[in-house]
Order: sequence, then structure tokens, then C-alpha cells
Amino acid sequence: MSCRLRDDKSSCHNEGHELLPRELRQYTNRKIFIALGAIIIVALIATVTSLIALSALTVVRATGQANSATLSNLQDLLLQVRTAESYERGYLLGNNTTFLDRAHTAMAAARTDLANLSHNLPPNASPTYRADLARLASLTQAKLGLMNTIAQQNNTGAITVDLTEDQADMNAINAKVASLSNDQAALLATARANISGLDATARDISLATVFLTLILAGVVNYLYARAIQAERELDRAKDEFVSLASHQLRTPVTGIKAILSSLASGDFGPLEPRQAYFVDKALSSSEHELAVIEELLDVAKADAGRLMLHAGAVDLVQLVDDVVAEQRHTIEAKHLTVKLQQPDKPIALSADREKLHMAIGNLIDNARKYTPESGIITIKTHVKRKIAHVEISDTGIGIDPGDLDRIFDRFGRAATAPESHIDGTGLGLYLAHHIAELHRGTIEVTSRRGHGSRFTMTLPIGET
Amino acid sequence: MLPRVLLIEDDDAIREVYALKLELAGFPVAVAENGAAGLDQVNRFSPEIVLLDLMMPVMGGLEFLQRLKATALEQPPTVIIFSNLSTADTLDSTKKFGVSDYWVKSSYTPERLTEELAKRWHTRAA
Repeated sequence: MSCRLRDDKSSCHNEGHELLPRELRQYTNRKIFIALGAIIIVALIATVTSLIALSALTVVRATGQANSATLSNLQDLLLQVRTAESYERGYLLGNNTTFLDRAHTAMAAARTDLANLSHNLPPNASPTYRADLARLASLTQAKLGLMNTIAQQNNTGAITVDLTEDQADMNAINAKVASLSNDQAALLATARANISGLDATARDISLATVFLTLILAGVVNYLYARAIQAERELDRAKDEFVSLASHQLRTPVTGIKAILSSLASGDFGPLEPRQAYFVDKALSSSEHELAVIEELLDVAKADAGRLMLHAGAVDLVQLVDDVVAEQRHTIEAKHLTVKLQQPDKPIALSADREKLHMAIGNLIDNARKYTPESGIITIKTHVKRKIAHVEISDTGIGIDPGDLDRIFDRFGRAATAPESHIDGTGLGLYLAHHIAELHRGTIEVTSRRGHGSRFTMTLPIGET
Repeated sequence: MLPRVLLIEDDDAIREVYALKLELAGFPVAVAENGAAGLDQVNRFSPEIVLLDLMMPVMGGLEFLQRLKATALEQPPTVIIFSNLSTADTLDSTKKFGVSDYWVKSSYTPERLTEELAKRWHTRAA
């Protein structure tokens, strides 16, 4: 069900399953939270996945580097073995011992290379690789021993070593080193392929994260726009309701007041004293009802955050004079004394005169209501450090300390009020407080039960 | 000489009692119960002041203002909004039609209205 205010009359109609603005807002807010949650989850997953990929990439890169270093060492080893083999062949062909020395030196270098390889194993070195290195070290050591024997026999002139067998050992070393080099080359190729694959995966994750985040951000933006729209709809609905309610509530009483006012002023002929008395009573009642309606409407506006100020130049001294003049008749009817203490000069404010009139009027009216006959109401205005103060003190029934915190709440009346059979809606102080705050001012109260109360309203000079 | 006043108001009681008070105060008065009847009266009665309610059946106050503006009269009347509808939106809407006087009906009595109309007319004449 929704109501729309048209130019002529209000109308209400059912709109089936359509959501009301408040429900739409809640529904949209839930969606926004879900979308934001999804963004956070996607971001977390992307972060964790990226970290894992980065970590794997680091490991694979380190392994690749180790494989590369190992391969380089193996190639050095192969070079030394082949050099030793060449010199040995040269020695055997020419019997030049210089070749044998060089072969021995190359083989010794090969042994050192093997020792380095055994010491710096790559992280992915297999047991077979380790066994092969050990076997190679053994063969190299044996080969060096054989070379020493050949050199010694050569010096004595009788070589008894089987050179064919020696050549076979050399071939075996050569083949084993070549095989190990090939294996390492294959491992290096695998590591490089892994690095390339992980690089591609990390790039895909980054792209997917950016894409998903953009989509979800778009969803959040759309939902947020809908929520804003729902908020505006809700505000408009509140405005329409308040304006409709104000019109419908004011109109009948306005008619009654107009008729009673005309009767009272003799437009329909002179009234007898008793008639005039009761017409006056009825007129006062209608005015009181209108005041209550205005108060309720202002409360509705305040609750909706729609109580607006229409600021203009206001002389606070004159305003307080006016309020006191309006209420003087009812105050004096209760035999109360009003002491008005105001400065000679005006206190200029930028304020909403009508609303400030209502707020100060409520404070003075409260002082009247809660002060027993023959009591005193003191009203003071002054300026201190560019802040205007309006103090309203009374010698009334006072307020319990426990009630002081809630008397400015909506419908928050002090316990002493109902006990004293004093009428009131509990809205006057709420509105006065709200109006003071709208003016960037404050209202404070000090009171003691049985010893009266003092309400102080402060208002900044020259501000609204 | 007091101005001719057209009161456009859909509430019978309010219309009748205000019209009576205005007549007693010496204002020549015509009445209409909605905006459409008000436009007829503008042509027939040539009011100098129109007191205009806003929420009325058949034709509301804003539509009346729109049509009155479209009529392009040689001497258009001064329009005073006299309504219990008092929101910032309606205030802005009426300002768009050049109407700046917005009197909230519930704050008035027939006596106060006639006094203020007379005072306003005399101030203008002076």
C-alpha cells in the first residue's frame, strides 16, 4: 500500500508485491553487503593463490638455477674428461710423457669438478644421480691411479698395463658424464617449462582478479545507486505523509476555529454573556487542539529529520518579550510572579523566529504548569562569549535526578508530572531540545525535587 | 475602496464563514469551490486578490495557477496561497508561478485575515 499526494487530493492504492522504499532499502543493503563480502572473498582467494604461485615460482626458479649450475659443472667435467682422454691417446701414440702429465692434470681437475658436484647437489637430485656421481668419482680415482702406474712403468721402460682396458675405462667415464649432462639438461628444460607455466598462471590469476573485482564493483555501484534511490523515495514518502497528515488534521479544526471566531466577534449577531463565555471556551479548545496538532506534526518532522529552519534576523530580547506577553495572562491567572531580566540592547541572532518562539514558549509554559500558585518564574537573557543564554527558573515542584536524563526524550515526562495531575504530551521539551540543536545550541537543566528547576538554552550569535 | 476578493476554497464551512467576514468588513467577495470554478470567477468577477486553497477536488491550486498564468490577463490578480498544506515543496512550486504570499490557514481567524488583507491593500495603495 502506498500513498501519493496529488495536486488535488491524496490517494492510496495497493501496489501488489512491489517493495516499499524501506523494504527495498533493506533488501538492497543486504545485497550490497553480500557483494562486498564476495569482493573480499575474491580478493582473499586471489591473494592466497598469488602467494602460493609466487612461492612455487621462487622454488622452481631456485631449482632451475641449481640445475643450470650443475649442468655447467657437468659440461666442465666432460671437457676435462675429454681433454684427459685426448692427451692419453696422444701419449699412447707418441710416447711423449708431456701428454701423460697433461692427461693426469685434466683428470685431477675432473676429480675436483666431481667433488664440487657432489657437494652442490641440486634440490631435485635423484638417488640415481647421487649413485652415478659416486660411481663416476670411483672410476675417476681408479683412472688417476692407472695413469700414475703407466707413468711409473714408462720410466722403467716396461709397460705392463692393459691399455685396451684403460681405454674402456675412459670411455665408460666419458659416457657416464655425457649421460649425466643430458639428464641435467632435461631437468633444466622441465624447470624452465614450469617457470613459464607458473608465470602464465600468475598472470591469469591477476587478470581474473581484476575482472571479477571490476564486475563486483559494478554490482556494488548499481546496488548503492538503488539504495540511494530507495532512500530518496522513503524521504519523499515521509514528506508526503507529513504534508497529507498536516492538511487533513488541520482542516476540520481550522473550520471550527473560523466559525467560533466569527461567532465570538459577533458576525452572526450579538451573543448573550453565557453564550459568549462558552464560545470563548470552545475557541480556546480549538486553538489548543491546533497547537497540539502542530506539535505532533513537528515531532513527526523531527523524527524524519525533516524539521527545517527558515532562518532570518531575530532579536532574542524582543522574541522573549513577545513570548512573555503572550503567556502573561495565563501566568498571572495562576497568581505567579514573572521576573523578566533582559539587557537594554537587542541580541541579534540568525534564527528561525517561529520555531525559536515555540521552543522558548514551551520552556516558559512548562515553568507555569509545574509551579504552584504564588510561585515565581524568572526569565533572564544575556550574552557570554558570543553565546546567547536564555535562563528560565521557577520555584516549582522540581524534577527527580533520575528523570533529568529522559525529560528531553519524546514522551519523556518526569515522574513528578503525572503525580501532580498536570497535563502534558511530553513533546514540548523534546521539540525545544531539537530546535536548539538545529540552531547549533543546547538546552541544559538543573533541578531538585521540591526546589524548582532552571532550564538554560544557549544559542550561538549570528549562526543558524 | 477595498479590493475585490475571490476566495477559492473547497471546505464549505471555511468558505462561507470567511466570505461572510470579508463582506462584513466591506470587501466585494466572490467564492469558488475549486480551481475550475475559480477560473470562471476570474473571468466574471475580475478579482484584485485571490485567496487560493491548494488541495481541492476537480482542479487543485497549482493547476489553477498554471492555467491562470497561461491566460495572460492584462491585470492579473494578486494571488495569496491560503492553505493548510505547508511543505517546502509546495512553497517552491507556488514560487515558480510568482506567488510569494503563503498564509497557513490554521494560523488565521476570519478577523485576522480581513485585518491583514486591509492592511496589505492600504500599504500597497500608499
